Amino acid sequence: MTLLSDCASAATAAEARYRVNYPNSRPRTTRIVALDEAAATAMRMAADSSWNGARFLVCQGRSRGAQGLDSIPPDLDLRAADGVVTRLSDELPGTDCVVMVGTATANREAASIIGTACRARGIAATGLLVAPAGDTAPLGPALAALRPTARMLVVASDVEYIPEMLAALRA
Amino acid sequence: MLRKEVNDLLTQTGTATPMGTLFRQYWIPALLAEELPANDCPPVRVKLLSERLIAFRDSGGKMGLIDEFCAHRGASLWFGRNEEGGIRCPYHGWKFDVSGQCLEIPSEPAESGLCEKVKLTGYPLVKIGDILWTYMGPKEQQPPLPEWEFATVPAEQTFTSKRWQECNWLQAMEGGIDSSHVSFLHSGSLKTDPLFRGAAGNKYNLQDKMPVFEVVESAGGLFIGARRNAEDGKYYWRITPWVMPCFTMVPPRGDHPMHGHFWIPIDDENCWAWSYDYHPVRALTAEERKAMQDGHGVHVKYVPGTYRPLANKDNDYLMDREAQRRGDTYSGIEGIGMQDASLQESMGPIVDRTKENLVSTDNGIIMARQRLRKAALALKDQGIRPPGIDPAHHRVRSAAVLLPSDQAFQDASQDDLRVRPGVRQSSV
Repeated sequence: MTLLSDCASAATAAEARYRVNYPNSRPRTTRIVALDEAAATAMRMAADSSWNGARFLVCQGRSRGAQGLDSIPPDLDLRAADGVVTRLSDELPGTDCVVMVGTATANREAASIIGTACRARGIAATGLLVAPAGDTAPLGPALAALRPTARMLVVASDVEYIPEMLAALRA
Repeated sequence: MLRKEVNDLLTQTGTATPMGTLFRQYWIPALLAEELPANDCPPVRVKLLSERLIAFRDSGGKMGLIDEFCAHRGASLWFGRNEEGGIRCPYHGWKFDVSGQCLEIPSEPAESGLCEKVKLTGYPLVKIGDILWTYMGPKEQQPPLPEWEFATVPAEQTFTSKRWQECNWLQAMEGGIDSSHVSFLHSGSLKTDPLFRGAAGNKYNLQDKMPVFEVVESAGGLFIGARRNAEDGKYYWRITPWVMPCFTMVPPRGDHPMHGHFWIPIDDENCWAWSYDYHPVRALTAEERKAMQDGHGVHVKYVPGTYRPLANKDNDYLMDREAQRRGDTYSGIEGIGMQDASLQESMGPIVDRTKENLVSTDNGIIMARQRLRKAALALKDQGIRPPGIDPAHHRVRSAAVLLPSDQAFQDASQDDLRVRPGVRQSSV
């Protein structure tokens, strides 16, 4: 039985105005990684906006170890907007969310490495593939590379979706 | 998170607002056909898109939706006399036809011609299925009639209801494209509701509470796929179509009828939640129809004589804490429709989306908002007609399928996601 001591019901406009006004979450740490050059171009347009600490990175390929061999465990070189190259393994600590942005030519190995690293660290990974209307290149291989590890996969026809999504996620 | 100005843009649907103009591009459900059951029956007050209107059916069976208020001195025509081919205001006898054209002004000489100069706003009403549909936009842009499968199958295969929901249309609609809440909010109903229980696919919902989502654009809106683990390396996919601006179809369960919704703004703080159930290839059984009429599945029990749910905010939705504790219902509210509506109304009439904390699995909602905003602005700024008007966009179905893990639903389920007359729904 509902007690009569309830003094407020949220379901009126008048009561809704009394919702406590305070920041109900702390800033999130988001990394956005472009998986190919076309995606990097689209991402750069979004990167010009003001964000809550989001870092925009372009995948450069597999990191090399001391003897010039592929790093083990697999790691990636990522280029930041200022041109500085960092490693995926250095970017992920403290990260809440990784958004991988790609097109039909997305680096599938990189997608797999990022997704696997995110899963191991309990970081939510999202895959966003941009396929402009009229672009007939098959997305299947890129989707297949992202599917095993991404918690969310999105196929958008419009690069404007990148900043829209990032804003919605408070990146 | 959504900026206030975007929230305002998406939630305001009155005349001359961008979203209001967008809604006025479509045929939308206005009334159940049962609300105008006979020629010269009582008129019905209707508020749609913040416009107060009156629906009536004249002596010849013609139906129309016109301005509620008499052009003379503004009395409500709900008090009118519906007789002899029109509705007559009881105040001074002015009479109007279903298009809103004034037919008589008794106090003026007929030869004065005044009555031809008086016309109320009027919109068409067309019966398709159990629904009277209206189009409230410019006459020259009136689109072809809708072709939703639930409304075009034979009458014995379909059932439609509506309920008043006391919140903005968008937060109600967003609940319809948010598949991840099913494993929580509706978990009790999956086991007990006669229109849901027994489907083989239900176990996947209950076993895997962390679905993985894929969102792809369609010509009319979106397909939102929710993937859960199944046996033998397969995934159980539940695929929800969303067609602009506010149509959704819930993925089916076993051979139960398929169901879904429209959310139509009454005004900015209220909407009609329309709920349909249909089976593409067979008549509904007597038991199924009875269950729908009794408020099971996506339908509700009413306050007698109204379309207001019996469980509503004034009685705390008949919250049953014992049922919640036992797990009969997850939230303590009975019925799938009111489980959704109670939480959506609890957000307030128009939720403040500047305070929300969306996560990546909310991308279906994020993309729907983007498509709505873009379409509304393209219509306003460039006159571009929005998606979802073309009847081809209406011929979609939801699906529940088991697919090998390496297959994309948008490729493997193309046939499952389109209307195939005479072919059963794709369901598990």
